[in-house]
Amino acid sequence: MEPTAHEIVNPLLWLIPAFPLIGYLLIAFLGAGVTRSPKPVIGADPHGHGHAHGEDAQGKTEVTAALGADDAEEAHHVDKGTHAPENLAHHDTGHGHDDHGHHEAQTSPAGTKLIGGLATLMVLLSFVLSVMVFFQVAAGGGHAGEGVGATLDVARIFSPSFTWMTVPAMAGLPDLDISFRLAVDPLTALMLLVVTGIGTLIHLYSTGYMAQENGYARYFGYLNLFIFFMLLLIMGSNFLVMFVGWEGVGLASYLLIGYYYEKRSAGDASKKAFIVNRVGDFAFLIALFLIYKYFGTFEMFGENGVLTRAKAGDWPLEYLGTGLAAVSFLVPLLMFIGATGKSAQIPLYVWLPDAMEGPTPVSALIHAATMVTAGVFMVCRSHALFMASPEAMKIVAIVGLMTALLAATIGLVQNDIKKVLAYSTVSQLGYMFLGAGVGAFSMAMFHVTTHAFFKALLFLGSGSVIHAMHHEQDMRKMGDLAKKIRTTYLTMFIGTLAIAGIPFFAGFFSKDEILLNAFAGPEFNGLGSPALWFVGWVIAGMTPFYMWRMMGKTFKGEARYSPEFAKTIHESPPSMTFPLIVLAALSVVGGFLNPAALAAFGVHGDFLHTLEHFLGSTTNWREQANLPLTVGEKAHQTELLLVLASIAMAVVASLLAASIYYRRASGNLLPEARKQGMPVWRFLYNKWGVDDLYIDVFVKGGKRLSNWLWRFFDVRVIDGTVNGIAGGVAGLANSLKGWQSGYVRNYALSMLVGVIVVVVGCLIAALRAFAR
Amino acid sequence: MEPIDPALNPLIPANGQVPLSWYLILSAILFTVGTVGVLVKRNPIVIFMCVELMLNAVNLALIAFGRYLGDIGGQMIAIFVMAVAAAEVAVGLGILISIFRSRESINVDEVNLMQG
Repeated sequence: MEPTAHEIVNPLLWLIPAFPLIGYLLIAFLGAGVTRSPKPVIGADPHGHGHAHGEDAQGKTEVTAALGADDAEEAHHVDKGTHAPENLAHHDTGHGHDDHGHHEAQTSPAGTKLIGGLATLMVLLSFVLSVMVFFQVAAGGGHAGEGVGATLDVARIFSPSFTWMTVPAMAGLPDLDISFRLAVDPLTALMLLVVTGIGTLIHLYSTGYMAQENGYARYFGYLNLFIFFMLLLIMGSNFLVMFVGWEGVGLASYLLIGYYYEKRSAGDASKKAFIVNRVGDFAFLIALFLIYKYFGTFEMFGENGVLTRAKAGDWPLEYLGTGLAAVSFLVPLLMFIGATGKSAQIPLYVWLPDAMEGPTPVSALIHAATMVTAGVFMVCRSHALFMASPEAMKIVAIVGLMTALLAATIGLVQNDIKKVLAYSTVSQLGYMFLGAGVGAFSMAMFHVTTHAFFKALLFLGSGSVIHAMHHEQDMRKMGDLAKKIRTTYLTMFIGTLAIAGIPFFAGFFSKDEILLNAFAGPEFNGLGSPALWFVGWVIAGMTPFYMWRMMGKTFKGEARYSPEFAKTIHESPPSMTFPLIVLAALSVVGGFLNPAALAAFGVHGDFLHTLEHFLGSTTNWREQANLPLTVGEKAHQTELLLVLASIAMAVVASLLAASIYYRRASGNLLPEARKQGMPVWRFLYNKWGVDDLYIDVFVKGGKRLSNWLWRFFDVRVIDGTVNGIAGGVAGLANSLKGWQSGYVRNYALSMLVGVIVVVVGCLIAALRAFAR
Repeated sequence: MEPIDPALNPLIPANGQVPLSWYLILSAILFTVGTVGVLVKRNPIVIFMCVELMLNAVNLALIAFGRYLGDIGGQMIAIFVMAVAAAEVAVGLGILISIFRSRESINVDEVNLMQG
């Protein structure tokens, strides 16, 4: 597609995804050589230890492993404690997964610095470019939505395009000329900053966290690849480019979750993530087919763009006939199913908690900057399609709310520090979809942004804890860490304040806006209902509870490990704490991107809606901004009440949880035995039985189907056909083989018979000819 | 040679000449005897003799036709047939001796090697 006169073209856009791709390619081709150590490292070599504790104590064996004392591990800790103190930092960084990947080259320190530096630099360069593009977009427009059908009310910068593929016209559809082109508008610019900014911090963190791991080059190569595909996803100017990125992040997450591929559970988790995502991708693909069938193009923007036309209500009736309602419902529904895969919503959320098998920075990347935000982004990007179907919007909102509830309740009883955070992410993503489902797309993106800050912070912080605890992830084996790893504790404390919704931290503003919009029903010109708000409000009380529970169990109470082990606990290196501090700062101020909740307290001004105005019509579908509750005196009072209710819920739940878990030495609310006896606890601990249900229905069902296919279809039908033909031929041959007796006389007789037949035939023919 | 007068009864020799049909009848009888012998006999020597009988029945018919049509070709083919028959007997007897050496018997009912 040729750029038209009023389109702004900036070739620099190509560079934004190009840098991580270059990083990936360089590392892929050169990484193994650079990081190979010239000679084996002796002395402080951590690879001699064959233990992998912590990671093993998950899943079914979690409880028993936690309750029973593990002598071998104890001895191991003592052994570690005797090392010279100056080697400690070096030594400890390498501990943990040393029994994985022995065949991979041992890493040389200089090589790892080079690889880590290169990968980080590439994402940093992308970030710098993103900032430049961001300012170009911000300067070029980006005002609030100027009505339905407005196409040029936001600054949208395109890259030069080239023809990707051309499909000749067929079956009544026009020529399909697909161009490969990138586009940046305010929505994409926001995502660019999140992806590359947080991506850079996570890369930096990884250089410290992964310093002594084997397969260092492989790790950073995939990390860069992940960023590259995510950038392609958010920058694609048509749905096919987006789909390439969409599939690509699925691939990259598979590779990274399975980073410790020699561990069975990691391999299983990566396959689970890939397959579950595949289900969603399939639905998304069908949605794309429908879009092509009915719009005849994949292009999103411009005069004929899908989103432009959908927003203008210009659904192509010539193709639709009477099926308009069905199609305008099916397309967003299928897209949403795709989003449930990537963004971990019911019913496809099951992969995300298992994805904790990957290295912790990868979890941070998946949960904060890439992957799970893809679904929310896609829904917001395509909101014009979603708005065409109120039913689809309701489904989005209800599924989001159900997911938030489910995940929050499961998060209440998890013992693995990363699992708590994983379910917390699923829950927060549910909020985002709740926001999107009630039409508050800009607020969903706002929550994506603030969530990226504090969830990256919390994950990286938990990584720092795990690092300090020598790859112990079970909170029942932690406790009393606050003084030992002070920076980690304080930054995570801020992150917890943010996610808990304590006023004026990042999470408060975004979550509150979503809840307000969920409340606002038709009488407030909204799509929500008080019922949605109420459930969301209850969940907003669970969030602080499980977060403070996690903080208390991890950092307070008595030390549930040996004193010798305690001596080896130390703060992480600066490359890890620096990202924590940056993210903590962002978690404090991030909410002021759009502090609309302040309006309830009588604050006025344009700055209350900065982000919303910036996003403009890329997310707004109303004439006015997405704040139905700001108009009128009754609305104002309602808003004040709701905000106060949210604050009360957050503060009360926080105080309650903190007063319990900060004081109990054991870190437990109830003794283990009593918990086991409670049906509710067992129900939640078994994750509502969803995993078991999936295993029973899909895994076992799949096995039964395969069994049936094997025993019936393969054996009877396929083998039966082949063997039947062979058997038939054999039977025929058997019945005929009597003729071949081997006796000369029989052959002679048959010859005679043949001759007689021929002669008689000739005679008859001759007689007939003669008679005529 | 003058053509045979069609008015004459072909069953009665005229002019001291044996009519063609008599040769053909003899040939057919000999051929049938040979055929039946090939089919019913067990001794391969006798079978060979019967084959010879069939061949010679054919020779007889060939020569008779040749004489009747005044064509030397009939006699020529008969000589070819005799040469081929001699060769065939030589090969056949060789096979028989070989069979006899391996089986101590040349009964054709005990030889059924000619099957897949």
